[in-house]
Amino acid sequence: MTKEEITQALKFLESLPEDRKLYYRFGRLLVEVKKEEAESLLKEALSSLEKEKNNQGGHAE
Amino acid sequence: MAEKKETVSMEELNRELRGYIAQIEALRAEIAVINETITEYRTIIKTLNTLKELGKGKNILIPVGSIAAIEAKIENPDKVVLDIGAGLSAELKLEEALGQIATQIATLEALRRTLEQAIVEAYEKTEELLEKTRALGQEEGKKSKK
Repeated sequence: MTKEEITQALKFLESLPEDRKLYYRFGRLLVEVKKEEAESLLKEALSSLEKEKNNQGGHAE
Repeated sequence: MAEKKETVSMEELNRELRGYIAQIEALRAEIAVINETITEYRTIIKTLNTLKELGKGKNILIPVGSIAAIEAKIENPDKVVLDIGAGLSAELKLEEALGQIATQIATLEALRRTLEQAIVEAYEKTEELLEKTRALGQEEGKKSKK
């Protein structure tokens, strides 16, 4: 998963009408989530990606 | 001394040549993956349109592993759950889903054109280097005759 992919998914999510069903993938399962849950999961993924990147940067130094 | 310099040049040319050949192979492999994805997306568009034509209530078989399937009914062919990336899938209207897939195909086609252009440029560089290698080889041949 890349930062760009997550940002695009968040953007797409914002443009979706409220009544649409959403599913988030956990392993092989697709779990139905609310829009806020989806947003929070994506933001969480984005933040752990950035943390990972910062850690790698720290090691490189 | 001068001879040693030419040998190094020939080695450098060959190394550069191998680099461009590897680059062309990598670009070709990437284009093959893009082609497969575009074919798959076009099949999805065809399937969704066919399901829409067949309409609500039509019996279908859902594969369960590679050798088994269970019967199901199409509840609503106007609703499609589409993977929008980053682990998220969203329920879309058929037209929206078809539009999204078409956009993705267009993006992949643009990427393919860029990669094809990169291949053309790498080929040109390869030709240039081959020409230089040939010229250097001939020069070396002449010198060794003397």
